[in-house]
Amino acid sequence: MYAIVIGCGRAGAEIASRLCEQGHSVVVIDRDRAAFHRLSDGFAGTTIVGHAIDEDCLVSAGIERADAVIATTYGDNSNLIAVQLARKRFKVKRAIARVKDSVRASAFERLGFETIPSTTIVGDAFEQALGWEPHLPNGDPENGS
Amino acid sequence: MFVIIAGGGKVGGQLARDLMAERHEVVVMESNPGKARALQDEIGDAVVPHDASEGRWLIDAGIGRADLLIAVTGDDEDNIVICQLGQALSEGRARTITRINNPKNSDTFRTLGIEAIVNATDLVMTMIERDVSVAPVVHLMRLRSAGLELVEMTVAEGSAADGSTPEELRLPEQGGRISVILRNGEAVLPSPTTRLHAGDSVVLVAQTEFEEALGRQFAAPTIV
Repeated sequence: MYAIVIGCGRAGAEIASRLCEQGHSVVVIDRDRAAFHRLSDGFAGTTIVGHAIDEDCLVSAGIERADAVIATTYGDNSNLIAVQLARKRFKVKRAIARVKDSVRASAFERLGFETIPSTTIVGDAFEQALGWEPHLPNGDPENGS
Repeated sequence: MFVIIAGGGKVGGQLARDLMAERHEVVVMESNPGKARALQDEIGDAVVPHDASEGRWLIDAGIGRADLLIAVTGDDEDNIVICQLGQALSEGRARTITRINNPKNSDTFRTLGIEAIVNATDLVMTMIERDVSVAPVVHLMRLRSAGLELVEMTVAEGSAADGSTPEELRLPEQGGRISVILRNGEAVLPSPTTRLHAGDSVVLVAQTEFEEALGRQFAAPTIV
């Protein structure tokens, strides 16, 4: 498959490197050339210096034939604009935005856009790792929680 | 009306003052602490020192009961998402309006159908009808569906407009209409016989096709 990863921070570099290792074609876009150092040593994909919502940049990345766009930049709003652009302007089937703000993530999910609500996911993971039962302050005293 | 303004810079601050003077209830959201404090000193509790695209703060600010959300941060992506978020969180109740800072983006957003989401046109038209001064914002807007633009022009010394009245300039026949004159920091509502002077800024509703020709009347004469 052919994926465009927008943003080459830790998360972007991680998913781009993984997809590449799995044999998919990957193009990574970042504003800062230095960011590409985060990609794995064996990364065989393409890197492009450019902005997330610059149409010319997305076209040169081959968005018109991309199977997926993955928006991972530091800015929730840039990611949300990038996936809207991918879906509506370029008819890309899968476009997923990393969104740190949980409220914003669920609002845009309701509008029909795929998001990775990273804060919620991390919160869930911590909660699960602890594995605590809910503490009910007004619970039965005999059970003494 | 209860209005939430996202962005407490020059435009947001001016809008807040205008709307408060019109006795509207206003909340301004500004995430830059310095800017927020400066505005707080002036308009007090109406300032929320947080990012409007952060869902919980937009809810806290009262998006659930807002009549209008105006996004005037310096970032187009933020403005668009703030409007979309505002519509989602108010379940479509709040009307939203924004400006596009970078003309290159306006094409992008148009292809997204953002214009339908950010319903600027009817709001701006309503405001003009009511002669509410929203000059700092509207000069940046295109009322594309109506084939109109709101433009701000400054009267150059020695231009055709310098010393003339709107009537003498025959603006209406040329597809333009002055909605407000900004003179020495005051907004003046023009009559057909109000004389323009060099240094005045005028906010014009102009038919898109005539904008250039209108602009020439306000520009300094070129030396041949």
